[in-house]
Amino acid sequence: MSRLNRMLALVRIGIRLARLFISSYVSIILSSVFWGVVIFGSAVVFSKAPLQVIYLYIPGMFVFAMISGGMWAAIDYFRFYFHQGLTDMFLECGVGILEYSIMTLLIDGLLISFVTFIFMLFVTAIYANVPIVEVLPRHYMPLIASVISSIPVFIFSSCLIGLLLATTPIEVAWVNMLQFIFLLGTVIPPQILGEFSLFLPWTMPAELMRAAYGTNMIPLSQLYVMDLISVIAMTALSIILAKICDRQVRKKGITIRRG
Amino acid sequence: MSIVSVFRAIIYRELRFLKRMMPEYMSLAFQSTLFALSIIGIAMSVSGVSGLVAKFSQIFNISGKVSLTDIIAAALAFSGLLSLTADCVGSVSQVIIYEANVIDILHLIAQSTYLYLYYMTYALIYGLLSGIVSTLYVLVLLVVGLGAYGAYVYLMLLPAYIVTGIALSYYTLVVTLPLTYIVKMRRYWAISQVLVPVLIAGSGIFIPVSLVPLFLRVISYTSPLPEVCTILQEMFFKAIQSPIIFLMFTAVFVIYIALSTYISYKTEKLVRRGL
Repeated sequence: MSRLNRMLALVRIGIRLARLFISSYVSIILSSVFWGVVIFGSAVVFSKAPLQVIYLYIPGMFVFAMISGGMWAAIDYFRFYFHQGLTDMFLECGVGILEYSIMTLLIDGLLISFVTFIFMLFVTAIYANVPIVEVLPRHYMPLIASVISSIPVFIFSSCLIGLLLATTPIEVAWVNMLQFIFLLGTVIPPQILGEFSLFLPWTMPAELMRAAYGTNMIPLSQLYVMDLISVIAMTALSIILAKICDRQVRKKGITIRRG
Repeated sequence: MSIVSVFRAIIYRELRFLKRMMPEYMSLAFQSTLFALSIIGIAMSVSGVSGLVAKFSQIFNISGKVSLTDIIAAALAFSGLLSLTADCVGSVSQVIIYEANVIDILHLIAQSTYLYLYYMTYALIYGLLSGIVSTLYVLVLLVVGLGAYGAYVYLMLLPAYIVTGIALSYYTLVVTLPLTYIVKMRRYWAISQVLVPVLIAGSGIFIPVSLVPLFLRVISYTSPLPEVCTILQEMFFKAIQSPIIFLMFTAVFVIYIALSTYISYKTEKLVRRGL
């Protein structure tokens, strides 16, 4: 119970923190939507079946946005706040990368990703010249399951990139390139990648989101089971990664590029 | 400081920065290539190669035969504009804002030279350098894909990239200087974060600008990008049929230089009054 209370307290602090950066969140949403539109708008125009492009590729954008959000939470924690001298303060208060990602989950993760996803659907619908209702999800159970199961994906990406940033002098530009690995299985569906993508744990929530449009490759009943396994695996992995990260930071401090 | 010294100082600084910024340029090249290939890949996965070729020819109104290689080469060439816009608008706006608000070296510049001279020279040099450096990957990819002909295509496009880089740098001065010194924007990173994708999405880059939704097009028409995209698309697929687009671009270019000179001059007066 105390652990649950602690998590709720972290989420509450995260919301309070987020209120300080509302204009930044608006600019993040706009920027993500328009970058997405550059790809999907053009692809829709070049395609003979624009709706098929929307149904097959854009659902994965939600999970990709969650991963990207997690990654940026880690960058904020180990680079942005580090330069402001706040990371040490967080660590002294017992807020490691795992706790920080829980803190930012609601706004940086779920809210931003969902709003970005919906706006991207709407703008792409304008490119495809179809009514907006045509691009809304049709099945709500897989949609809800996808939103819930993308939470461990957010935390996992945050802990993974956090470990990388804490232990290597890697620059943000390289991390930016790394995030495109997460396109495999999320935006790029298993129909294109083949069965290899089923081994990527972040494919399941994206596939559930595609199931909300009926473009999933894995049957829904199997998908729920596989999703549950991936949620458990990613939660366990996140905890392990966060522990390694915290231990490394306590032992050697945060590694950054100097000069 | 004479104008030549300002030129030399900025060129020296930018060349020194270039080495440090290499990861950013590599990342930009990677992302731009990925964007170009994703668009082709996504459309092809749904429509097939023949469907994509047919739609492409129809959209760009190409009468001759088009191959998939042509389409990929065109997409890569257009992606150079994406990389260039992201670099020019992003870097010029960030440098102006950082120098004014964060690293506080404005008084050093103001002591040494005229601010308007500094800004105008900086925009010119950065646009020129960025036109070459941020599009170099296009040369590599075109040579890999098309051989020696790829190098010829790139050299044909290079003047367009360079002029666009300079025009975009002046455009960024026009947008950023008032936001920095008059509006005094607190979340300064939002300028480049939003402006770059809006301009790119609004100009189409990979598609004719006429197919872009109106609300996006309106914003991008404040920049020289839509005209450049049209010029580049026409250069790539057919001989330029409408010289009016060149005239429009030249007019826009002149307007930006005049406007940015005026705004830089006003900024100088504003800053010196405050110093």
